Amino acid sequence: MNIKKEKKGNCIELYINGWLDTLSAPTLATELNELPSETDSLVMDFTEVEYISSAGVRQIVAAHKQMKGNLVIRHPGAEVMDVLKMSGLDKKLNIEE
Amino acid sequence: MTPKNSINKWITRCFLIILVLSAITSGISNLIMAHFVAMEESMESAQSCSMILKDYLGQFYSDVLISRNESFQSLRNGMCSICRDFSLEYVAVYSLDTKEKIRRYVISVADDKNLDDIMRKEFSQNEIPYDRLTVGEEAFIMGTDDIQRDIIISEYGKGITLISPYRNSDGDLVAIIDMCYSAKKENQRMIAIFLANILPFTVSLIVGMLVLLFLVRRRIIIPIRNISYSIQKFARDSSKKPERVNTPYEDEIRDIATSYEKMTEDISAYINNIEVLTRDKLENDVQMNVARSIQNGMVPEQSSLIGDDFRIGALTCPAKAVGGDFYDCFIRNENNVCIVMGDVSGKGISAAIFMAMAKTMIREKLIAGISPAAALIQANEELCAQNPEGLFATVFVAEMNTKTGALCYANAGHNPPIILKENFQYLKPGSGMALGLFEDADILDEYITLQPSEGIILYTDGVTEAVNLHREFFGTERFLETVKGMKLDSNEPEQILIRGIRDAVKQFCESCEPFDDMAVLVLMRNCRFT
Repeated sequence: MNIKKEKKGNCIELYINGWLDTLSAPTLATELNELPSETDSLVMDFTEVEYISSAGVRQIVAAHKQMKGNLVIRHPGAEVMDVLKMSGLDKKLNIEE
Repeated sequence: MTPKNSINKWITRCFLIILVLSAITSGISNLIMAHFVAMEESMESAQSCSMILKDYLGQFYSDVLISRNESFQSLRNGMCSICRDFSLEYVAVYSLDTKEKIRRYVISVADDKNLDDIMRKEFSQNEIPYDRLTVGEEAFIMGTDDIQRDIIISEYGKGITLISPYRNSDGDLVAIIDMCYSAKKENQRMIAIFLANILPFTVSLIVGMLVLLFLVRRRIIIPIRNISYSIQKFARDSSKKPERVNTPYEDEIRDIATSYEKMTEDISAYINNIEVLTRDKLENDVQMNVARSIQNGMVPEQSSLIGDDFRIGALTCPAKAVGGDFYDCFIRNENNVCIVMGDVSGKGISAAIFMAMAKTMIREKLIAGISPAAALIQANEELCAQNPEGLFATVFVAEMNTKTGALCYANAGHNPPIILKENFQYLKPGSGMALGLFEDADILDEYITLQPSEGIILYTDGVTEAVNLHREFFGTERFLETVKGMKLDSNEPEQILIRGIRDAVKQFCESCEPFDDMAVLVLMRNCRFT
């Protein structure tokens, strides 16, 4: 998995690529811990994410809580969307399809 | 610690040996040279001495032969000063009488007083017979004018005589001048020449060698020794970073020192790394063992629950890394049986404890008689209140009335079960939120009725998300097809299903060890095929 980070003012955009699973979720966790304190919104671009496991879901929820809801999940693929729907998160998260 | 065969000692020894050897060879060659130079000098001085004497003899010879007169005395005085000037032992003049075989001494003079007295007594104006002529005398008779050299050994010691012929104007041999050096004097002169030659050479050789030895030690031996000490120290205790070895020049030795330094740093880093890895692994192993004990205690690997109107079979396949899959099945009262399937995100102790908590809470609440959705909502509230690590669990709960087949179920973000009606198909439950994430879980009770011989299959994502070597998922489609392909003509159809599913997933993964664990639970209603 790769993460590319872009900063647009106080908004951070993370472009995630590959499998967001148990092995790669800690990388995303590190990325979230290192967000600048002034960050007021976060976008996670899921266009290139092929698979998300429960560990990945946990990081999304952690980010959602960390940003106090100012998190956008952008362009999740069908597989990722299925997982988000199954776990009920689609009702909670701001998802840009 | 100095090694037995130290390079330092060896090089010093080699230097000393070379020094001694070159001193010896140059000494010998110098000695030989000095010997010849001394001889040459003797010859030359004898040459000039004989010239002077011949001159004297030309003036005084005829007078001298007659008597001891003034001429004789002045010849004596002259010869005496020649003796002194040329460092001669003595000088004598004699004529040869070859018929009588007599050496007839005309005059003999020595510088030394005692010797002079003896000479005067023994030789002056004396006739001394001889047995045979010396080689030099014979050469003179044959006509040579060159000075001849003889070594004589007499009662007065070893001497070197140089004889020169004195001829008259017709060329006849009138007399022979005998000039004698003491061998001691010639040796002294030889030693003086030898020392004069050898000393500067030897001194410069020694100084040169010492300077070279000093430089070699400073530039090569001492740095190598320091590196060697440093390596020995590092070999004894690799945890300490070795001191930097000082190398005075930018040369191969410094390359060695630099490479060595880099190497020790690498080694230290590797060792450190290995220690950390080992510690981490140990910690991880301990965690995993604890987690496994919790899981094994909470979730048996296989279980079955058989009633008059239902059959339940369940199994788990724990993976190497312990996950948080769990299932539960129990008879709530005489009419109702409950089944639970859940999956906690994360691995290790915290996931195992979370799983234990979730499982216990749900069972408690179901036994208390509240509906599946209410049980999940309450459990969610409690889990959210004590979840610092942000773990969550997806759970599916169902309660079936064994008499009527009415099934009430609720889903908290879990994988949709497969139901067996006329055919196998996925149930499409509402998607309540997984437990532990948000307090408003939005979970609802839903209903379905199972006819006799119908059933429901609960599972975790370890089944559908099992991955093979080509990174392909087992997937929901393949899973459904697999289940459809099973023949359930047995008294224990739930066993056929759970084992069949387990075997199909294992076969799909081939040699690839399943990363996630999986759990499968099958509830069949009132199945009597026979």
